[in-house]
Amino acid sequence: MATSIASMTDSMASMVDSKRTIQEPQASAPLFPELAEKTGAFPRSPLDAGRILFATLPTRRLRLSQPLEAILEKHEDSVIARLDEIEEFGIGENVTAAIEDLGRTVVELYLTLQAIRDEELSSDLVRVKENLAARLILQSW
Amino acid sequence: MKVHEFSRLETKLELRVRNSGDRLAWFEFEGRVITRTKRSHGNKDLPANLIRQQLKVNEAQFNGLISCTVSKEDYVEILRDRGLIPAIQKSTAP
Repeated sequence: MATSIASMTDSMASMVDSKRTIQEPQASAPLFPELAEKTGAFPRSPLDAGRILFATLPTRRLRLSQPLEAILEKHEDSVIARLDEIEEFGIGENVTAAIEDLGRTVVELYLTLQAIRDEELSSDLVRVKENLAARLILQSW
Repeated sequence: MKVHEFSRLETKLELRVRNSGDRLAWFEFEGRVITRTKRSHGNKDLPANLIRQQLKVNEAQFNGLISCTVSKEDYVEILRDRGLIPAIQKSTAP
């Protein structure tokens, strides 16, 4: 197991398509169209600006079965988008960058966990793996 | 949390990454992957409270990890206490 992570191929990295554009947000019109176009993310309402839904991931291999709700917060001169359920976050200079970072992190987390047998994971990581498996759908080619 | 503080954590806990571009680092013990945390990219400071949550330690333990008063062996014991690493089986043989 000591080499299990280190020996994984770079195929995971190649799955990420940074140029992919975002498709159809799954709710009503976004409040910030430019942001939604770039990230597929948008606040649900003016009263909920500290939370944001994002519906797409930066890879063609995976899609979300439903949007994920991230909490936004300022951290010094950066923005953090975090998913409390799986204790994961993205960070960037602005909301767009933070959401993109979070999306890439979620993809890396999912693919890495999928490559490891449950017996070789702590109970906490098994929980995270199951949580992600319920929300992410591996696309067939 | 400063970048050099995170680097110290990475070194002390021997966190593993697949390659330098990865966003996550993983703590392994006896062939099992126990915790993971987000890595620092560039010179941006990371949110200490979120890194701490991912590593499953409290504030005092986290500060100890950074300041060198908590060792890797101590960290293993912390994770054992939290049930993330199986407890050491006491021998019942005579």
